[in-house]
Amino acid sequence: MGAEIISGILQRLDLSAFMISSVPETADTGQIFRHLAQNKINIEFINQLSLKNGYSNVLLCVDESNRYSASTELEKLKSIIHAREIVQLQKVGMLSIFPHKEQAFVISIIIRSLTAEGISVLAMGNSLSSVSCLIDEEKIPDAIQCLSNEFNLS
Amino acid sequence: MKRLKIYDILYNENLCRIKLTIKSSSFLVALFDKLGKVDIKVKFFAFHQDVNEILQITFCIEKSELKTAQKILTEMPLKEKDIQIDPKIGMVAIYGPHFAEKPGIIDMMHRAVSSQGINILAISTTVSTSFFIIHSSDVVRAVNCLNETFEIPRGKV
Repeated sequence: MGAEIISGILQRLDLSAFMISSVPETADTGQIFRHLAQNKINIEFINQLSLKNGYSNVLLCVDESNRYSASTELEKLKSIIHAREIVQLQKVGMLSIFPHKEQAFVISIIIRSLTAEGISVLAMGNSLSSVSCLIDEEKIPDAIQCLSNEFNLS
Repeated sequence: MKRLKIYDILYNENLCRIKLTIKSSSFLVALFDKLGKVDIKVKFFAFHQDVNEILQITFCIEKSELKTAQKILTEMPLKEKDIQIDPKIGMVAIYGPHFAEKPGIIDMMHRAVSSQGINILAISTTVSTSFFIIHSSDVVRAVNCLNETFEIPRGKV
């Protein structure tokens, strides 16, 4: 398989991630987005997935400058939405590879190349034109190098 | 109230959803390599490591490609309990210019869709797009309410 051609890699630094785990599917997870919006906190990345046991996990990222206020709001909501746990990850970075053209290879190349370098992918999600992955911010330079070698940048 | 301008609303009523719970990312690599080799397009993809470092994965492909994908999945070392397939899935998405700096867009989208009693099965928001995975029977209602919530250029949708 030849190198997949992509146009570029975007990086986003200074993010904090929150994993809100095991929220019952009957709970209104929209409250999370409402409370953060009311506090003028932009959410840079969301990954909400239903699990097989009637629960959902919501992983979201905000700018590091909003970490404290986001944490305060989410802790207020924890019992309201019956989340089992909220885990905070500081200093997370996001890399977006574009375009993905809906190709499965792009996803496998990203995961394979990063894990081969010992870089753990915390989460991934797609947008219309890009695939974004969250990793430890310290690993961003290595990850860019690794992905640049792996993909054929046009 | 003035509606927020966005570029467009996208939708698809003919998807199926595959949910996996696995321990190793090498499995994910092998699976997506195989899907790539038969040129199955991935319309939606989201995964994260949960608090127990288990990988929770959801992806959507065209319904017409489900049989091929199922054949690939049966060749993989997966337990039946770790895989769930829903064949009647749809997607709505919005994309626009302000997503990176304007708080509240996802809230507007979520409120619009859930106010119709539509069950949101998965969300992926990143860069300039928000994808909502819903049941295929809810797609038309979701698109209609998003058209009322957001302003898009004439001639679209």
